[in-house]
Amino acid sequence: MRQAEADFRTAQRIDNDADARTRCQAISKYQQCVEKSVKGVLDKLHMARLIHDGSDRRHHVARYAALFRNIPRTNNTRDLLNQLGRLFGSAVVTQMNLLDSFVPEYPAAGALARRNHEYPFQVTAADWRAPSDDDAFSAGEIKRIRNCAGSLVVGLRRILDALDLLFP
Amino acid sequence: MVAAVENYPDLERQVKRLVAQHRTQWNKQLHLAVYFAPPKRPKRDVYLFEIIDGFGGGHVDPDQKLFRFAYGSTPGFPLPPGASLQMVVTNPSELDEAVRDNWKRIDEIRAARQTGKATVIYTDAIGRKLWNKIK
Repeated sequence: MRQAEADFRTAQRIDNDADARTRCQAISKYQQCVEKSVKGVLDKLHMARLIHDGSDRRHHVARYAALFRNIPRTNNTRDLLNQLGRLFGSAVVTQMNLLDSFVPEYPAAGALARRNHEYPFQVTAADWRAPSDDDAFSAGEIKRIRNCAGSLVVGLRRILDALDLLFP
Repeated sequence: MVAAVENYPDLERQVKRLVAQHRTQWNKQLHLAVYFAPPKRPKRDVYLFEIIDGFGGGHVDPDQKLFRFAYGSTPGFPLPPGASLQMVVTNPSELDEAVRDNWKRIDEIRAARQTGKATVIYTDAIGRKLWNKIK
């Protein structure tokens, strides 16, 4: 979680509204921040035996939002798990899905290289773009991603610290 | 139905054990731990207020609410059936703002202190200064 916070601080330093070419680098760091925060809490819940499985190697984390919202509650766990679930409202999940869509992946055979924050991608077969092009990501996208990372890194850190106090 | 029998300060020994664990876990970051009983509360619940350096990443809540959570019995802190541990946890920067702007949950702690229902379980020099701000 400390590394997630470091990613967030780095993203904030890179993220420059006046220079759209910075967006891919900022998105990369915001994505790392969200992935690490989510997996940190997930693994702590697993260690506390509140959920069956911990995190895996895949970078996509929006899929965990439904898990966080639906962990079976008991009278013992309801309050904290409700606070956790409330972090993953529909707007945040939409933003997480957007972030997930920018995680770099090798294209399937014959498919175009998908837009991502790391490697060149294709708009058409002959039209390659760089993530650092100033029109690769919109102002609205970076704003939504910034909000998503900001709300999750703060909220999840508190939940993680609370779990640490309960399950030292 | 759970009877509303007040248990403060009967669980002090268990609370001390929990705070000792927190001291070990957070090393010198735990500055203050107070076992308290706010005036309006489920009487069987156990309330613990802690100030920990870096808690929540050192952030200050933009909604001006101290972070509070409830949890039932755990292996490290067994509780009677129907009782919860209610923890209010903050960091020194947030506490300063909470006192200065009189956040809602500070009132509960202050009220408990004023009615003699707040026991300091652990404090260091920083914690003592912060605790003295909540009068």
